[in-house]
Amino acid sequence: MIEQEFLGRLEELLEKMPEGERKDILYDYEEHFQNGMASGKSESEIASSLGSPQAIAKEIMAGYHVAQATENVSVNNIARAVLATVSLGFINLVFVIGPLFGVIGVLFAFYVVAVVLVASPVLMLVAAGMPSEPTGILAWIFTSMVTVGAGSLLGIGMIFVTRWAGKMFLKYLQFNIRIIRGA
Amino acid sequence: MCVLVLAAEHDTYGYELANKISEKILIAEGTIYPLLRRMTQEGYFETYLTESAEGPPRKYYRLTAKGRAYMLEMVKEWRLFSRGVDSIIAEG
Repeated sequence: MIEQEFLGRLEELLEKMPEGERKDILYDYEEHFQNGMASGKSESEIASSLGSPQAIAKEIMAGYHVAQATENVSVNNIARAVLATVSLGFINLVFVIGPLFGVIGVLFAFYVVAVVLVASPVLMLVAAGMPSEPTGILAWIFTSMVTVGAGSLLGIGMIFVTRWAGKMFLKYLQFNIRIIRGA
Repeated sequence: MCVLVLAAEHDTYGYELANKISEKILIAEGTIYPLLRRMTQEGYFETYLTESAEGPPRKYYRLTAKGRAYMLEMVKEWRLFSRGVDSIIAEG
């Protein structure tokens, strides 16, 4: 009865996982119960020494989401991995959210610079008006070519940097789970 | 790390590991399985099923060469760390 309750609860909490993996995990706990009873323990003893299904499910889901995101790097997957890791405990909130905002802030700043560089020819016109003499127009064209070129290169570079930063951050999440839960 | 060291002596199964560790350290036994899973995915363990005389077929965990190397590394680091902590306690 208690075993069924425990396994049922765990199964519910793991419903977001693919079925095969979930069955695999549930089997481990079933085996644990049966081994425990074979050595003469009661179901409630075994269940209480296992700990709560919630705690176990959080642990499993955090590992799962990080693995998912590592395989397929996307904003969505990373967000899920961050949430799952944070839900493991308050310490993670500090160690995950802090660096996350730091990284996002720096990336954002570089994107802003790239956009400003690309837009600068227009900005120059707005600020100084259309230059009247030919040398002014030439100067404007040349500075525009330089800033637009630099801006687009920076923007393209930033896309790669962002992808790389996402991957590094996932590594950091894995490291976090390992440290806090103790390997 | 404890899991790795215990599994290094001989192939082991989840229940046995959980028991051995919780004898010595206060831990929710349920967290051992996610740990084993993760380390299996990272290639430190291989698993196989074996019928047992009493109870269900057991999933055994065998340490791989990669797992053994990782274990030795961890043990070395732990020794260094605990020696450091010990000496701080002794001086403090």
